Amino acid sequence: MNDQANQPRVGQAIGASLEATKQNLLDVTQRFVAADADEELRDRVEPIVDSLTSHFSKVAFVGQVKAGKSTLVNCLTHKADLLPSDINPWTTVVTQLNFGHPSGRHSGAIFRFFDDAQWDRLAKRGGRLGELTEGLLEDYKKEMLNEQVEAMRHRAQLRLSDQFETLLGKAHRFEKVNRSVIERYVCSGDAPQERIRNPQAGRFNDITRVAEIYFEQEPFGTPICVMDTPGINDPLLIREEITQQHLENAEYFVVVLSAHQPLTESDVRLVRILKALKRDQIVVFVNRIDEIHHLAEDFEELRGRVKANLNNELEGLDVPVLMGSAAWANYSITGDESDIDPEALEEFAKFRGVELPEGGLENADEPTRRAIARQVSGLTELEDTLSTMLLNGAKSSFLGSAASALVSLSRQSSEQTKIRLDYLSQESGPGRTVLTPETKEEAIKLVRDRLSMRAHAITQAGRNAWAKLLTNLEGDATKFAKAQQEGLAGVLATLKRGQDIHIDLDPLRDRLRDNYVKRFDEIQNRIWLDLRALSKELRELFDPEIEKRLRHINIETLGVLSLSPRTDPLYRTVTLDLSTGWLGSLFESSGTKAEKMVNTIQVQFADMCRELIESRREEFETAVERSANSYIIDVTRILEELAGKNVSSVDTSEAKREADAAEAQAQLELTETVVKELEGIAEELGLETELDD
Amino acid sequence: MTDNSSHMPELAVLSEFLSLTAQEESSGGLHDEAHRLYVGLHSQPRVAVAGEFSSGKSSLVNLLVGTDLVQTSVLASRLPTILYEYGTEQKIMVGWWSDTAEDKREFADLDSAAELKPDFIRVTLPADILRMVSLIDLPGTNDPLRAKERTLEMADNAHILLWCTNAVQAWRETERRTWSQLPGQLKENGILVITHVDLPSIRKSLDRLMKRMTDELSSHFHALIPFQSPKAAKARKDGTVSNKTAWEEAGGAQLLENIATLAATVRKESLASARALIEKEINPRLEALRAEAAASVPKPGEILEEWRSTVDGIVSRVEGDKSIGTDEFLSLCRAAVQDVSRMLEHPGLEGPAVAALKAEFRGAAHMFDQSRLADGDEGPEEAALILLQLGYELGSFAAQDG
Ligand SMILES: Nc1nc2c(ncn2[C@@H]2O[C@H](COP(=O)(O)OP(=O)(O)OP(=O)(O)O)[C@@H](O)[C@H]2O)c(=O)[nH]1
Ligand SMILES: Nc1nc2c(ncn2[C@@H]2O[C@H](COP(=O)(O)OP(=O)(O)OP(=O)(O)O)[C@@H](O)[C@H]2O)c(=O)[nH]1
Ligand SMILES: [Mg+2]
Ligand SMILES: [Mg+2]
Repeated sequence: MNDQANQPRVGQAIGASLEATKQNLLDVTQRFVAADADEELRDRVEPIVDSLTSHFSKVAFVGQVKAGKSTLVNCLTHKADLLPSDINPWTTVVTQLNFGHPSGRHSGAIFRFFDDAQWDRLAKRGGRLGELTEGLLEDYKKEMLNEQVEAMRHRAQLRLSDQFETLLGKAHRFEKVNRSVIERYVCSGDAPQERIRNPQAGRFNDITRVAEIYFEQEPFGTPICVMDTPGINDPLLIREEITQQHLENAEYFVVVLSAHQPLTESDVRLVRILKALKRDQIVVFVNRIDEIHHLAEDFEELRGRVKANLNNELEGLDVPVLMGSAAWANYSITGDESDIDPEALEEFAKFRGVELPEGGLENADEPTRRAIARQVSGLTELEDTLSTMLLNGAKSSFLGSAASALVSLSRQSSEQTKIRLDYLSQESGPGRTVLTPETKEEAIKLVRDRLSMRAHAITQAGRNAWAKLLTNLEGDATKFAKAQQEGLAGVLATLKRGQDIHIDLDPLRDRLRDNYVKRFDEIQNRIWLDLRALSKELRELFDPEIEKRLRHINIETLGVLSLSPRTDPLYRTVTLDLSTGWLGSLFESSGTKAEKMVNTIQVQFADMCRELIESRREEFETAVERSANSYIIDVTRILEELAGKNVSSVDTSEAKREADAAEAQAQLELTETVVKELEGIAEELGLETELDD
Repeated sequence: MTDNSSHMPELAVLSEFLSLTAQEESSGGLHDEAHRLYVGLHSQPRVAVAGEFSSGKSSLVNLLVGTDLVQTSVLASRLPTILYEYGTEQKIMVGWWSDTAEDKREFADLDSAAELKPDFIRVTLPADILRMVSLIDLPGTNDPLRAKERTLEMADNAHILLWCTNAVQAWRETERRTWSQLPGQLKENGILVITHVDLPSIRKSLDRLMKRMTDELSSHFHALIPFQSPKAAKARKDGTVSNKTAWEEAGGAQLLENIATLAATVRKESLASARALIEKEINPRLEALRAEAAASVPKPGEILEEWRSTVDGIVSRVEGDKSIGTDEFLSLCRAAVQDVSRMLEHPGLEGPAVAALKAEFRGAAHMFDQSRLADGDEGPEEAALILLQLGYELGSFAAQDG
């Protein structure tokens, strides 16, 4: 069969454009390293090359139960039927499909099981409810959730009997996988006590924490991990919990909606969490359009409404909204017509202006029908959008940092060679270096001391700012909690069994988030300015002649700039702890109960705030330290050069000197070409490479 | 609304009790309870059709009542609640839950009625099913642009629940949660309608879907019914079944049966409660209330006195404040008419003269209600003439008596 529908589009494979730029950068870097044999330079370049070669884009498919995530992932990866799908809620495990994994592993699978601690945490998290924006957990729900967790344990034990305990914390590894192996781990399967269609399906799913499956990079253009996740808004609250816990592991998101209900409150809530995680590389795929009768009439309005609502939610961020059908895409790949309504396909193809053969779809041969299905399935748009997203994401992250670091290093290298050439061509002969070994050591010490003093001050100022912010946030939480207390006591006094209590915690979350993000930006900006000023200050320690030579060296700020605030802990569910239990608490006064509840809110939010701050503070400190170290390495290299490190000793002959000069000249030319090319790439990526002054 | 009082003596008792206790603010609980039962018996049980947006509620209601007044679309509808009641002809009216008086304005279509932002739109239709039950087509939930609390409130006015869930994503947490917040009594009379089962992706494994639904939900619902709107619509054109087999296969027959069963149950329960209330609480008090009422029958002279002082009040109000607007003037007139009407409704007042007078006042109230008065300056003039005329009639009634 040679129909095109079945083949990934060559040269337009997802991520091919990103890969091309990356390869280009690597090639130039290779020539750069070949031209300059300096050991220290290699040490500096190596991690950058690593960051390029080990980079692995991660795309997660998220959305409500039965939106069609698993089916869509199968289509995108051209692995029809790999991931199990079903009419009932099915996917239970975050399933990572790794294509061209940097570790070199390109086949087989690992299924990792919960260990005792993780299992416990899951069970406890089970006690905290998955309703992110609704806050407090009511009594009956707590019961319901405990039941669910119990049922899950029970089910696992039924299915695994005595294996259960021994499996926890272990993993199952396979050299080869197929659908039936995967089915044992990642989907819920039929309940074990029932008449069972497939006794193996779902066997291990309750204890599987994550599934990693490995493939060659084909059909993708770049190493990539495509993640399928359990659906949100499942009455089995644990599934949503699992997905939420994994959101941070991906950088790109395909939010799958069902065209039957384009954009519900639940979807909006998911998008809000993504926004809180600062994950704005999102594409929305409105799936199942094949099932909507006479969609043509509502098509534009539907897309428009989804776009407008999202735009509103994301404060103006323009998210691409694609419309399509995994069923049509699947048909185009497999030729399996069983889920297809040919009339709907024909009607929609006409609406999209697809040219149909005479006599309509019915008269078309199979390859043509499949090609038409592919055209209207939205799969091509999804591939293209993902490609663009991957490239843009890379520009503002690893690819961008690598390119600008390489530009700076290549410029330094050329400076170094120029210094050497200067010496070699001096009339008065070699030996008249600008720095003696002693003055060089002094200079290095001078820079080192000043740098470490300033870096310490920057770190200290940062710590103070973070501490102040923490106090601030805790104050917000306390104020909010106290304000609730009185009203809460009233509500509790009249509360009947089974009734819900509502405390809307979203205003608090939003206030904390806004406050945190604002101060985060301020702190980041402060550090950035301090580092820039420091670069200047350090250069000014030197005579103009030396300073001129150091002009390409700056304290790197990309590490600091690439950090972003993490607000997701705020959106975790907050537990209401009436520790005595419902019955016991009946005998307490509602005032005491309210106070207890308010305390729980306060304590939990204080924990969250601490978490928000501590991890980021450490990251900032590491970034500053790393920049300072690189700076010292770079400056030392130039100063060594100025002290004549690479120039032959005094007694060499004129001829030797000339030969050295010629060699340096050749190297300079090579390096200059490299500089030009790197600057070209950086420009293509939209980076600033102009010098300060 | 059909009147069942003719074959239900309980209704007559409740009605008498209600009018005897109408003035008593303090009778509180009992009066309200009697009122609830009276409404429950007097009108058809109300069926609330609820579910998330685009779950197929309107498609279902449309084909039950046999019209396509409400547009169905995959886009979330922006219409308010629609209440369908029996009537000999199609009328579209608006209403607010807090208003006791009926708004008699009629509208050409739903959209123009919706412009007034009413709590609900009331549609009367000569559809068979509406002789048995009233239907409430509720706004969908889980719509980011609409708060579900309003929908929940509206469900308070219903006796039977049809919860629509789309088979494609049946019974998600948001649905379960909203459903769980409905009043307990309503949930007890619930039917789960699983829509969209005609779709190919559902048809091939419907048994497995139904298995899950049955395991999880059969104890929470009176029935779980897989439903196919498109097929049902073809089988039942304009409210009558033309293709019995298709109607059955679509789930229509099963749905109607279950609605009928629940409606009968609701009626039986209301009747039993009414009987119990009459026996235990009302009958023992009825004689005393009647005697009390007989003693407190307003004298025609007193009614006339009340009328005159109210009208004098209006006159001095208008003369004292020249800036008083037409609308305010008309609403003062309307209040005066209602006041005296209420006095005339006293059960102790009887006879053809009273009946004639009541009719006069009702007619006048109707004029004010419907703003049937002329536009512009002639409106107030006409209103004043009506007041004059009514005063005249009241005067001669009082004179006859005295
Ligand atoms: N007609 C139609 N059916 C679809 C489409 N996408 C998925 N399906 C079907 O819908 C059902 C659910 O698809 P899944 O891929 O399991 O959905 P999911 O989002 O992964 O579901 P969970 O893992 O349970 O959250 C399957 O029977 C699919 O064959 C579509 O675009 N059109
Ligand atoms: N195939 C199929 N489509 C249905 C069925 N029921 C409803 N639909 C379609 O689903 C969409 C939504 O139906 P509506 O009846 O408007 O849904 P609703 O619940 O009233 O929606 P809102 O009023 O917006 O809350 C429409 O496009 C209907 O044609 C069904 O049983 N099968
Ligand atoms: Mg799935
Ligand atoms: Mg509707």
